[in-house]
Amino acid sequence: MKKAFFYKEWIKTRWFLLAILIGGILVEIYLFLKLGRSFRYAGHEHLWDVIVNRNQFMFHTLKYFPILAGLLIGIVQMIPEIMEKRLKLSLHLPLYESKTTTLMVGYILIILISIFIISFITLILGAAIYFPLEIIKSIAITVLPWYLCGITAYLLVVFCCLEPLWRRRIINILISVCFLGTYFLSSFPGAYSKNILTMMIIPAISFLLIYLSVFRFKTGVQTN
Amino acid sequence: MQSVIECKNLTHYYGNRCIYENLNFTVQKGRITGLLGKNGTGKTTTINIMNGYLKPRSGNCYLLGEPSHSLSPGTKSKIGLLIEGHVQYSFFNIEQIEKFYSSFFPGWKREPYYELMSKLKIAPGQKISKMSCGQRSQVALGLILAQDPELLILDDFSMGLDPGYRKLFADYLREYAKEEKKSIFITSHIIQDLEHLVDDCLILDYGTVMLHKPTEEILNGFKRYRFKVNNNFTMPDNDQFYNTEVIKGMAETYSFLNNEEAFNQIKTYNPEISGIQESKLTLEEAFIGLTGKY
Repeated sequence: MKKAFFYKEWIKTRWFLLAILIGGILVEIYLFLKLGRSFRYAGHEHLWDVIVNRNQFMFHTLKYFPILAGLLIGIVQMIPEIMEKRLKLSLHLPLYESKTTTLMVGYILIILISIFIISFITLILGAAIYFPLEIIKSIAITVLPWYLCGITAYLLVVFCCLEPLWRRRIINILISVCFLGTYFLSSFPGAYSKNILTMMIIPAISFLLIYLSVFRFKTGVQTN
Repeated sequence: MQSVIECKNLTHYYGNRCIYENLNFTVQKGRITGLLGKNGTGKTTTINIMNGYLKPRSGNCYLLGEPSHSLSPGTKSKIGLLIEGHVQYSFFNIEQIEKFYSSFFPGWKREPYYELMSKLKIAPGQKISKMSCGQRSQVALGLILAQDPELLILDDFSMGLDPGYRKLFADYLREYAKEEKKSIFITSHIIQDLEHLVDDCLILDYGTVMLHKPTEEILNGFKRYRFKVNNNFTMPDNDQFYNTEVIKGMAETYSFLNNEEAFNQIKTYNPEISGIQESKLTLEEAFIGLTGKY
């Protein structure tokens, strides 16, 4: 059954997942080409000064890749489910509704996290060519909340899409914007280094909120 | 006889608008039951409650003995659902959707599905989103047949179908139900499609079950009577005649009484009536006779 579920989600989202993967690779190619160019034209000393003394971050372009990936894949996965209330078909499959929901969301989470891990490792390995360990650590701690933001964005899209009432959906969107906004409060390198665990709580809460939307769909608030 | 659907004291409101109060009915195993009713009488509400996608304000609905809003996976696998508009996963093609569903149902029978697809000359690689409404209806039906459920709940199967596809759907379904002794609960806004399909009719009126009888009993027993009357004729309120109308000296009424009983009864209201004519009715005419034109 798990395989069948994954098969369904794969058929539905495969091209978009591939697009996200290619998009992520292109962003990183661009970042490293830009970094190499800066090294060649501005010189090592100048770049070192900019990074260490002026706290400039070289990979800002990456900031919006995870959130865009999360939003896009959430929409691509959920729109076919909510159009013509196809979710009814999924929830009628011979599984408990909670398991059906977990499998649907779990599949995308696994793939999305895998793409983010590939992107993260590529970034760290690429940066390791140019920078010492201290700066690598700073890069890692700066970009990690962005990836968490991507995961949260995906979960919140599911939360909003599965909500059956438009009025309530707008409230959910506002809640989601607030949640996602917390990942963009500061662009200072390592700004979230002391709050990484707190930032992990937000996707956990977002995950639980999805079950609330499914519960509301099941009890038929769409027709009340 | 064992019941497959049991609705007990169902009450539902949309806001302050009462759809029905204390609605009760049961559907027996092995029967094809048609749910009929005018717009707004609660057909869709009933189907939604039955499918577990609407919680009634009070009362319970049981499918195969379990509350419809919390069916166990085992019971879900014994119930085939056709959602209004023959909705299916349109991103799949014919082969992919069969492969997907087959993993969930232990008694999956792929033959009836592919037999239906080949009859319609639908290629295995054809994507559902690119099919006509009629073809999609056959895909949905084929999948339900392959699932081989004990109970089928089909919501407005005729929606969007041309007469040929409607007939094909109804014929296929009837043959299958009779051969495999399946229980079916079905709605359709085209009542003539149900005439040769359903064993029992459950007719909803605003807020209540108006009638729950075998179709044969309605077709054989429910008649239209026309007779000449004077212009002052009025039929007193009673439960034996339905929707009496008088137009230009000709009265029309409907009843389960036979010709003689009807004639004698009407004569007690108006001794001057003459020329009573009895007509046999189609299911659609009987439905209009029971529920009225307005």
